Amino acid sequence: MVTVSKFAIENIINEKFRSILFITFFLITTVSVFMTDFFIDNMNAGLKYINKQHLADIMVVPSGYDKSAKEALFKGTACTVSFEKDPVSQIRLLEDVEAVSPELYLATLTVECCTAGGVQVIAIDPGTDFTVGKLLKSNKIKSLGVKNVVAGSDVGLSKGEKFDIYGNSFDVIGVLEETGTGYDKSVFISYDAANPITTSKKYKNIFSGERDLVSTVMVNLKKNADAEKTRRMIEQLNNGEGIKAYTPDSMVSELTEKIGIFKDISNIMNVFVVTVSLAAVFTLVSVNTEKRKNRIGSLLSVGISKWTIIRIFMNEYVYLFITGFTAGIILVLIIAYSLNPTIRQVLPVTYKSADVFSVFFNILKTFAVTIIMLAASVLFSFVEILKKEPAQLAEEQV
Amino acid sequence: MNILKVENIEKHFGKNGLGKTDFTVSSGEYLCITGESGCGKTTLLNIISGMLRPDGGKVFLNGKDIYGELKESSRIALRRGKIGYIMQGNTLIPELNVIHNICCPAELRGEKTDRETVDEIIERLEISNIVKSFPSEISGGEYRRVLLARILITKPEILLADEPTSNLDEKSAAKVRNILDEYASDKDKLLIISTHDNTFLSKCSRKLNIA
Repeated sequence: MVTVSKFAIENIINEKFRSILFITFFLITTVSVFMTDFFIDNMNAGLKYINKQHLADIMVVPSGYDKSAKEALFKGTACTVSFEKDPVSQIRLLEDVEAVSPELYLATLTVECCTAGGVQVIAIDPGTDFTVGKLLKSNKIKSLGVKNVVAGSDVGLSKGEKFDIYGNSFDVIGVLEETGTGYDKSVFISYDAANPITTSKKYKNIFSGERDLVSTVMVNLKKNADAEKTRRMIEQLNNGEGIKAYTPDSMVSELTEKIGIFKDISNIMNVFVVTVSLAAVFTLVSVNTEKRKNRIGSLLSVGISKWTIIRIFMNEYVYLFITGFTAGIILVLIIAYSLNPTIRQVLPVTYKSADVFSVFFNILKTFAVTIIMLAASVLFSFVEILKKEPAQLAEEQV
Repeated sequence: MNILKVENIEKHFGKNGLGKTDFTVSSGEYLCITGESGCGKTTLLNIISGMLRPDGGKVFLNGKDIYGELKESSRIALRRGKIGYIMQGNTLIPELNVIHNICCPAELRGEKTDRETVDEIIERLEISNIVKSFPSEISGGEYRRVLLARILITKPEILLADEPTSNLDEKSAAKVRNILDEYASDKDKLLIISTHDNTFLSKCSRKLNIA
C-alpha cells in the first residue's frame, strides 16, 4: 500500500545525500539556537542564585587580589590570598556593620578526586559565618568539626569519603546543593582545622606561619544602612591601603554585563546561523521541487490532488526536520552535561543547571524558530505548486 | 455516452503553440491527432485533459465548460476515472516499483485498489513478470505498458494517449497498439491519441490534422 507517509520515506531514502544535507542544516540551527539559550539560562540561574541567597552586603578583599578573590567566589578558581593586615576587627567597629564573616582561601594542587585545576579550600568560622554557614544550615549540616570537611556539589566528593590536604586527612560529612558559584568547586573546613596548617613550619613559605589569616571578609549591615557609604569607609581603613570592597550590586552588575555581552554575541551568531540555514534549506527545497516537477505533473495527470502532493513534501520535510531537531537537542544536552565542569571553567561567569521547566521552554522556543525557518523555506515552493497549471509543472510535457 | 466539444481553443508559447482548433467527438469514436512536431498536439491533449488552461476558446465535456465551470480540483478529479491521460515521456515514479506505480494513484487517495482488476490488467498487458521491478530496470515497451496499466485500472471513459508508440521497437509497439485497439473497440469509450504511427492512422475512425 502506497501511503503519503511511505512515499515521503521512499523519497528520503532514495535521495540520501540531499536528506543528509537537510538534516545537517536543521541540526546546526537547533544546536546554535538551543545551546545559546541553554547556556545563557544556566548563567542566569547562577546569577539568580547569588541574588536570591544574598551572600553579603559587602565583600572585602585584599586590593590587587580582588580579581582572584572574585574568581574564587564566582567560578571556584583556586587561589591563596590573604590580607597583609587583618581588617576584621576594624570593620567590626564601623557604625553600620552588624556582622562580619572572615573566610580564608587555601588553594590546593590537583587532588585525586575528579576536579581539574586544583580545589579551593575555604576556611570559615562555622559558628558565626553567615554566608557559608547559611548554606550549611540549608543543607542540614549542623556542625563542622576539626576533622570534617563539607564539599561543594561539583568537587566530586561524596559523604563518608576521606579528603587529604596539606598532609591532613578529613572526613567528608556532607555535600552542598549546587549554587552556580565558586562554592560548588570548593571544600569547606573550619578555622580550627585551617590554623594548624597555616601555622605549621612545613607551609611557612605559603602562609608565613600565621594563624587566623583572612582572604575575604563578608560584611552584613544593619537595617537601612547605606551600603555605599560603608563600602567607601572600609576602603579607607589601613590608610586606604590594601583593601578593596564591593557591594553585591557592583559584583553582580559585572556578571550581568558579561552575560549580556555573551548573549549579544550569541544572538548575532544565531541570526547568522539561522539566515545561512534558511538560505540553504530554501535552496534545497527549491532545487528539490524543480527536480521533481516532472513527477508532480505525472501525479497530477493521474488525478492526485495538489494537496496530496504537498502533503507528501510536507511529510518528507517534517521527518527530516524532526530527525535534525531531535539530534541537535540530544547533542546539546550530551555536550552540556558531559562537559559541565569544563564549561563552568571556561565561562567567565556563574553557571548553574537551570530547572527542567527552563530547559523544556528552550526546547519549545528552538522548535518554534526552526519550524518557522522550515515553513519559510517551503512556502515559496508550495505556492508555486499551487499556482501553476499541472502541465506547467510537468514542463517537458507542455 | 460522453461528448467532448472543443471550441476555438488556442494556446501560444512565444511563436509556437496551438492555433485555433475546433472539433467534437463522442463515445465510440477513435480520434487520431496528427501534425508536425511542435504544432501543438501535446498542448491540445493537455488542454483536453484539464491540465492546461487555453489562451482562448472552450472545452465542453458533456455540455460543461471544464475551464469556465469547473475548479482546478474538479478538473483533477476528472482524471480519476472519467479521463485517463497517458503523457509522453518517463512519468513513472522512479522510487516505486511497477506494482506500486500502478496502484499509487488510488492508494495515495486512501482508496483500496481492486486486486482482481489489477491482476487482470497486468496479465493482459503481459507485465506480471516485472511487477516487483523498478522503472529503471524495465524496457521501453514494458515501461509504456506499465503507464497504460496505471491508467486502465481507473477504467477511464475517455483515454488520451500522447505518442504511445514513439521510440518503441515494432514488437513492443504492436503490443501497445493491440491494447489501445481493444480499448477503442468498446462503444462506450472514447480514444484520442496524438501520433505519427501510420498503423494507428489506418485504424482510427477520425483524423485531425493540426497545422
